[in-house]
Amino acid sequence: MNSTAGTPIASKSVTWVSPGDITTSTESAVSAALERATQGGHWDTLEIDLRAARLVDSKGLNVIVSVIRKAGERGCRVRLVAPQTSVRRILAFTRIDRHAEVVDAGGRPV
Amino acid sequence: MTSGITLLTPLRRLASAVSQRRSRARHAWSDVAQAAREELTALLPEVERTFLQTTTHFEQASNQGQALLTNCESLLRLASGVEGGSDSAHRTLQLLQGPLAFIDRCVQQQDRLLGLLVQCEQRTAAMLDVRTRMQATLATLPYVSVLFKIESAALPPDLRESFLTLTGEIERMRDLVDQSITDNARLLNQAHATLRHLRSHLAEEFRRVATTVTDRRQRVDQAVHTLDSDLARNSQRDLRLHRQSHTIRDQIGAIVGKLQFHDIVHQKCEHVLAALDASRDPEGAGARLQALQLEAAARDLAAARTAALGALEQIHCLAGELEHSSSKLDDLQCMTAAFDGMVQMLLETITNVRTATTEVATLTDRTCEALQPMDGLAQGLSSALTELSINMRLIALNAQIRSVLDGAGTGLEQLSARTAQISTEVNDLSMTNAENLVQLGAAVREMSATFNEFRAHGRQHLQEFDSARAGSETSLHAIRDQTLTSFQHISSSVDSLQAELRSAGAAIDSLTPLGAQLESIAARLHAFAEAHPPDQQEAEAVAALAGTYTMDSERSVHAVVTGRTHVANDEATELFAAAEPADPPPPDRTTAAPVATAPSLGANVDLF
Repeated sequence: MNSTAGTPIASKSVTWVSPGDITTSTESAVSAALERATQGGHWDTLEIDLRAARLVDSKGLNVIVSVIRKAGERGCRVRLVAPQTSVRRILAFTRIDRHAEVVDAGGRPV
Repeated sequence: MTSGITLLTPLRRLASAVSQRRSRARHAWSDVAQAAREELTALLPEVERTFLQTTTHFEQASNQGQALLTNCESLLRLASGVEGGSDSAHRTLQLLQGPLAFIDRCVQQQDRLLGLLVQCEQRTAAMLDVRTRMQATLATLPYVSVLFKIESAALPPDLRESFLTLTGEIERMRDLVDQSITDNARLLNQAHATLRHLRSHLAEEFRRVATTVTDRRQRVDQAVHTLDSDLARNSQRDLRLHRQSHTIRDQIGAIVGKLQFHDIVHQKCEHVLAALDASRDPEGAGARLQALQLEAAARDLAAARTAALGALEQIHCLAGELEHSSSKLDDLQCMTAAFDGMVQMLLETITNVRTATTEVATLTDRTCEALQPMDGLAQGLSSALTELSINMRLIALNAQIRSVLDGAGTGLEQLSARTAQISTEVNDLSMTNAENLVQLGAAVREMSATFNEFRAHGRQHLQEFDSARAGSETSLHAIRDQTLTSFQHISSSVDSLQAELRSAGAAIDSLTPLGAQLESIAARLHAFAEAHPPDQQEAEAVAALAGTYTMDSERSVHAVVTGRTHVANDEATELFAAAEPADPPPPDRTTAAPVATAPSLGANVDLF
């Protein structure tokens, strides 16, 4: 069971829904939003809903890698949900899919 | 006469019947040949159109294959760091050099600074001890003051008054000393606690920063080492992606080069048309020969279709495998784009070193702020003790003078001596304290100077780092973006190539009905041939066609019909386009059948 966006609850899962692409122009806002979403509360899984993202560039990847590392440092994991084909290819190419779960909208591994 | 007439009549009837039969046969052949000519004439443009359509798709696919190869090579250069990666890495290393050297210098000074802090702590502890001893020394002052009052009570009022003034000064001095010692003791305790905290904090922070920087430096050194060794190694390696992209391009090129069905079928059909045009009389053997030639052409089309579709399927699979390989790059450490690749590591190092430098700068700021009051404390305490020492000496001197003048032989003399002794002790303690203060001040100033230098250098490095950092980060991101773009281009190229291959497949599939049409014409010619067995004259005419064939396969078919031995061309493969026809040139269907000449070497045409 997921919490509402950005609000950690006892389910130990917190979800952040990306409003669109994660690129140079949105990097700061995404970073800040993820920071807010993961502040406080007890959670062990951060779900990043990527269905609205058609593009993730180098700076966007930096944000995702940073979040995965921070989550790892506190013993938590990151799940990347429903990435579009182009983004999924990038996640595989950059081997991010070896450090975070990549699942479809139904939660099945892709 | 009658018998002759009687004999001639059946002969005439026979001749008439033969003539009628020949006439019917001629008409029938004329119909069959005409229909065949018309169908073939209509079919040839269709074959050409299909061929053009197919070759257009293959040329597009060939272009896509070339683009794929280019993109794969670009990706390999970018992913392995050959293109841009090395420059960006070394530029970043240069950027990191200043701050890392600064942090190193700070960490190297750690032992000396911690030693100075220990000295400071020892000095403040010693001063607190002086304070205790001072309090013990001054503890007797109230009694001295009371005794002065008692001893002077018997003196005349004016003298008594002077001793009362003296005791007043002693009490005021004692209050002053109490206050000063109390205040300074509080400050000393604070300073002592601050120094202890600073020492522990500095030791911890220096250790943490040193660990971070050492870890980062090791990772950077490792990455640069890996980059250099990988660059050398990868240039010698035949990477899978490289092989696959070359294979795809070569296979497409091979199909385009070998896709000769149009020329083969066209010429075979042209030869059939020419033969049909030349054949005015009904010829069963000739019809069979042309039927077999058309069937051979139909088989050529079918073989072309099967081979091309098989090759297309193979290229389709290869393209899929290539896309998979490009997304994994299993045999290559993707240092520009991978999660643990060099670019990501350098980006993180930039952030970490920036944070570490800021932390050291902040630490030095805080340390400077903490040390600043220490200097003031030293000054204040020193002044208070000097004043105390001087005043005590003056009081002692005053008491001695008064007791010599007015109280000789009384207890006042002893009291004055005791006061002088206290003054001497206070003076000694003041001197000790002054020495402690000098040492404390020196250590504090040395530390302040070092930390001020750290602060100045830290700010300078931060300023330089921040102004160059953006450029370095932009360069690293640009390399990774280029790698991602190149990777995405491969995906797009594979998609386009596969779409083009599907179109080429559909175009090739349209050969099926054309082949069926050739077989249909051949079937009608076979039917005519079966109804009209060949005679000697016809067999010779058919044999004479041998010289008109330009292709080995045509001659082979001809040999089957004529029953002659066919000697295959020794050359395993000779493209049709390059083959010269036998002498005379290939028959034109608008002209009469050429005269047979010596057999040509021709060509043994293999489609695939």
